[in-house]
Amino acid sequence: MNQGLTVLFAEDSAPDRLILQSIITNAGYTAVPAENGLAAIEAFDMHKPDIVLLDVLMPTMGGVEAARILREKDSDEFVPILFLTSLSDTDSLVECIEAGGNDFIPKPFNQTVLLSKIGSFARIREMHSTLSKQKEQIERNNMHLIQEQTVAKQVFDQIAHTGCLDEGYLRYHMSPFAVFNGDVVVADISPTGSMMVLLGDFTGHGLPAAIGSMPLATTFYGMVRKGFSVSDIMREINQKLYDILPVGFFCCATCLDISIKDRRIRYWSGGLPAAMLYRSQEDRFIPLESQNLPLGILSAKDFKDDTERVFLDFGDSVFLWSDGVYEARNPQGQMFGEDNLHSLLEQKKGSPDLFDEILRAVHGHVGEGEKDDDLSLVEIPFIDVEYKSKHSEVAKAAQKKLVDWKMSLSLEASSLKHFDPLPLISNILDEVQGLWPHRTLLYTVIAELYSNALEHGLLGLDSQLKKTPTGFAEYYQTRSDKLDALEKGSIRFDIRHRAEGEGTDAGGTLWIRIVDTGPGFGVEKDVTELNTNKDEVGEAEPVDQFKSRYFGRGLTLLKSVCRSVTIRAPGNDVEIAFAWHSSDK
Amino acid sequence: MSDSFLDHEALGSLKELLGENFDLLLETFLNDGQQRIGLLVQALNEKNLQTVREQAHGLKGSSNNLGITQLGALCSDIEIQARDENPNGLEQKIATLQQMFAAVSSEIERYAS
Repeated sequence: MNQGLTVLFAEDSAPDRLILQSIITNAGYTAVPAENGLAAIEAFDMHKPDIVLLDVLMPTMGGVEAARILREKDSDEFVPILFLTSLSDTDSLVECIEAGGNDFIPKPFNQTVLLSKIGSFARIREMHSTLSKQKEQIERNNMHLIQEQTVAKQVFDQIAHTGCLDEGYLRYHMSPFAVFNGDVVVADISPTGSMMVLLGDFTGHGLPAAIGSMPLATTFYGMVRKGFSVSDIMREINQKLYDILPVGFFCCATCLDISIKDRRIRYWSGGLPAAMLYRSQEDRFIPLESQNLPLGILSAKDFKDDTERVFLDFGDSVFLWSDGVYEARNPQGQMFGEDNLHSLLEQKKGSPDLFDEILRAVHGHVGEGEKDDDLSLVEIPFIDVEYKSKHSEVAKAAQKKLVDWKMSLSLEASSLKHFDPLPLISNILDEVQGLWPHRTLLYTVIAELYSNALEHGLLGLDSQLKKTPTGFAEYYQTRSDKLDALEKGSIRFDIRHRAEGEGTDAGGTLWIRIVDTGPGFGVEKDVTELNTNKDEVGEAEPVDQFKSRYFGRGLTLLKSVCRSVTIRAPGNDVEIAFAWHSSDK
Repeated sequence: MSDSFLDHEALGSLKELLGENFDLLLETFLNDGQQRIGLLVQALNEKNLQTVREQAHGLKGSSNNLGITQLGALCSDIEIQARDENPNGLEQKIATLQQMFAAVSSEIERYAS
């Protein structure tokens, strides 16, 4: 490792130079002699030595001055300077070190001492070089990370700020790089004029925390603009995050649906500190507690999308925050804490400056720390205003698509074997904007009707078979065989839609009638079951045995969801009427 | 003067170290020493104690490196006295130095051949 070292030495005595030269050359190094300090500096520039030996007392320029000049040269490299000296007084020695010298080699020269010191310092030089390179690598890597984060942030900002966050309907505070702390706030206006707000806090820091914000924001905005409910949106986002986030990563969130018209908020909350609702009439705060696990933890099967409903009055306000507020630390490391925040809320409740007071208090606590501002705070005042979406033009245009229409679709055996009509029908229904919030439900209804028509009506299968695991498998095997063998028979869909009302009072009724060419199930006369109160889920009136056998649980579902269910004799003809309205209940 | 100024052991090591350059070393020492003493004497005449000090220092170093310690010690005395700006007896010391160097030179020449 030390082979090939270049050793520069400055010594004014000629015989001494000869001796040094011999020692150095014999050790296998390259010797570069100089007569004095000045010559040494010139030789330094020309030969770029690895080590420098300097005599102290030399004419023209001594070793100390030469050392100072060499040290002033700008360089990332470390070149050891060893003084050759017979001086023994401490002051002189100190002067050498202060000029930049690293060690002394005594005179008269001792070959062993000389070579050992050269060897040691060569190793130090090597270590320094390695460290330097590693430091440069680290700096480069950091630069890359920062560049990546900047790009990610730009992409995110494009997505996040397409909503109504800056329209003045709410106040929010987040640090500019909050997305890298996992915090996200999105808000937009639904086609029905409600404002939907979501505050999220992803686990982790840096890019992993930011990654989840993208699908969350795009899903949120996409669904809000199509009129989906908080439940649907939370369900969808939960599923997305469940699919993409690694185990242990999740998103605490609170989502609000604020309707001025209906004077109410619907909310879903999982994992965040409780949102605080200020009731101005009662001059007190009510917590909107988190009922659920954060998003991304539960599979679709276990996820609870139920929302709570709270009424509001003008003058009320809702405050949301992530736990960055509690965890803000002062220079001593103490957290701001939940108690502090709650007592501040209590002190200043009703004050229009409460939002600013909270920010002031937390920033005051944190002080001049170098920590990034890591708190997210949202205030939504409940005022008599109409939420106007930037996208309302698009929404209105969309509303003018399918309004009053009807269609009929008949499928013969040959088509039924290979073609599943449900996605097609679902797509057509998608063109009725008012039905969007009910997509999932309607799909279930149509699927139920179709499967009854096909499997019971045409294929003659008995659904009782599905009740046991082996029976289940047998059922579907039989279904597959019988479908392949189907020669004749057909199913007809008759679908009608009529719209009623306008704007926020818009509504409509969808009729879906499915008729199959099967024998029916012994229904002797037409029956219509009315569901006068759609909120009564699962309330079964005494049901005719035939009907219950025919539909299984299907009838209960249809009845609970549809305004009416009509079965026409002999039972192969079922029509449901489904009503929708632009405001929910 | 019956005692030798030379340390044969030291010179032996140097011979090993320098190899074929050993003679060159001796020659260089003699020439260098001669030159320094000349400058020293001239400096004394000019009352230039700084130069006296420097040249004495230089000759001290090379003498000691060759193991000619007596010569080195005398140079050291002269160096210190010149540094302290003490002119007392300096002239004598320098005269002694010249003589000693002459003797050393003869010995070296005898050694080399």
